[in-house]
Amino acid sequence: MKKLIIIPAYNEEMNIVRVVNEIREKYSQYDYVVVNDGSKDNTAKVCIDHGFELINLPVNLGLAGAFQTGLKYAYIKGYDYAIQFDADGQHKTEYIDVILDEIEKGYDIVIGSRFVSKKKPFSLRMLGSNIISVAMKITTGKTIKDPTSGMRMFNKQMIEEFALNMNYGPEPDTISYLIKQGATISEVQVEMDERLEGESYLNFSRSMLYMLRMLISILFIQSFRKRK
Amino acid sequence: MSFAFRIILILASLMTTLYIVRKIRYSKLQIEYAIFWIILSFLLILISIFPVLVTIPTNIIGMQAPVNFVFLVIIFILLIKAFMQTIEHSQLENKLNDLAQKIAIDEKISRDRQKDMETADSIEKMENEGKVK
Repeated sequence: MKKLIIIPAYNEEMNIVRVVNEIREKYSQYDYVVVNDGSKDNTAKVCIDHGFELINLPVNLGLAGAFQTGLKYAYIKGYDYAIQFDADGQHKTEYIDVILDEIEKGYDIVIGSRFVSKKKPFSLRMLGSNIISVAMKITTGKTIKDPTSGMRMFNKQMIEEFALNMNYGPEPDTISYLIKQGATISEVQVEMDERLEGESYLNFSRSMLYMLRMLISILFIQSFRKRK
Repeated sequence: MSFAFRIILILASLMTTLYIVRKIRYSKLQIEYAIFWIILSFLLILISIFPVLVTIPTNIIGMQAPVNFVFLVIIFILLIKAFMQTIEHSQLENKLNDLAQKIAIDEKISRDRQKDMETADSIEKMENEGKVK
């Protein structure tokens, strides 16, 4: 079974070396690829200097475009499983195997979830996460406890579907759509670290826009999307 | 407003929404962009069914006719949308330039490299032939 770790990176020169070195040392049975999303800092140079596997996008495509690049690569190279792994050090490598064990039971997508056996802490961000969960429950009937988790593994069929189609961003609305289309999804408990370096992409107004987008998308748009 | 006119407004806004939804259904546009049109078409339906949503603010502002208020608001929304699209357009063109330039420069570099290799090869060949003689 060929397994690929996709690491989308935008302005992550501070974190990328630590993250990739850990994967290279402890998880050499997995292939990995860093997708540099047209970073303005030295992310690409740092990767090349360290001899990392790198796909270097010449322009910034955003997370969805960068991650799709990784999946396209996985699709062309014939990988069986691909996992999205954040370059900022929030995701912990020890959970990759746990997620792989779960997807090998035959699921299409497995989410590394912070809240399977643990309770959600109370904060504004978690309120947003809860609202998205409720919207997904209403439209799909299935409970996803951590819909915004970025740590997701996809099987071969999903890799192909994500790689070749429009509107397959790695976001909760796509997950919601796929559940409706009959994809099987499971969650396993993981822990995540707080960011060590760099700034989070989501500030308050961006978060509000994100919520609006997700809610309209999950509650309305995804219900009449046609699968190709 | 006459009853017939209201029916026409409601039908037109419903058909607009239906048209937009159909295009989204067949993945003709990205969800990010669809959101704006969904909200706008809902707004149209809402206004056509409940015209009081327009008459109240018209009276508050002191405009003469509700239709003026509708024109003003819709034109303003479209103006802002047009400007935002100009920004997106510029950014896209910029990215396209970057891509075309990158491809062209990469191709030039790889051709240069090949030429260098060919000259190196022929020099080596000449040297070898010289040795043989």
